[in-house]
Amino acid sequence: MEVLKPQNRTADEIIRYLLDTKKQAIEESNAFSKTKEFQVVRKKLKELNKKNVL
Amino acid sequence: MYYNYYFVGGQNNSYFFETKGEVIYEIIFKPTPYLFELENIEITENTFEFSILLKYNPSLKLPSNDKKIGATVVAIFMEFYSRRNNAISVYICESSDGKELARKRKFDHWFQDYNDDTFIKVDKNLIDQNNNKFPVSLIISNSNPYEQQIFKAFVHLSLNNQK
Repeated sequence: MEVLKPQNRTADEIIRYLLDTKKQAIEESNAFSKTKEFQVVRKKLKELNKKNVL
Repeated sequence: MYYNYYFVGGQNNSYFFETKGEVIYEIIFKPTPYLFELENIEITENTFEFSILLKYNPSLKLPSNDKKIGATVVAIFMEFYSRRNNAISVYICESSDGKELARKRKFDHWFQDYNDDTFIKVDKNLIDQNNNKFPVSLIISNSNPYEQQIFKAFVHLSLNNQK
């Protein structure tokens, strides 16, 4: 998804720009969730929380 | 007290943390260089849209009112601003499910409870042609040298609906 730069700077354009940027971030995040790297992140978080308990 | 977090970085400056209920959140600071119509590169290149995303929830229930979540979000803000001193974060509350005011209240509480005056937060509503209100917050560090210019540009954005 490509986020278009606001053209005529009305409130509608700015709102659309911010919401589209957020939507793109969610899509990128969802794609990341399906990678092996995300599994590494989950493992790291478990380790960090264990350290916290200890 | 806050949860330990993990910085992944990438194009969206992602941070992750896991709660005691094993819920995983991702905090994002996504570059939004076209938000302000300014020529000051120090401002445009340091403007980010902040989002908090629920990444994993083992339960069907919504996460409980866990106070450490707010403390963790503010701790992540502090960490991110220590990397990018002049960062400007903008937070728009999503309205597609009608819960934008509840989100805004929660976000406001986090900053009220855990911000030790490191940050200045300004709130405005953006109103579209159909009169829908979108609460938007802007957060900068209290040492940002462009404070006045940023506030002026932010107020200008919120006035655009009155053109």
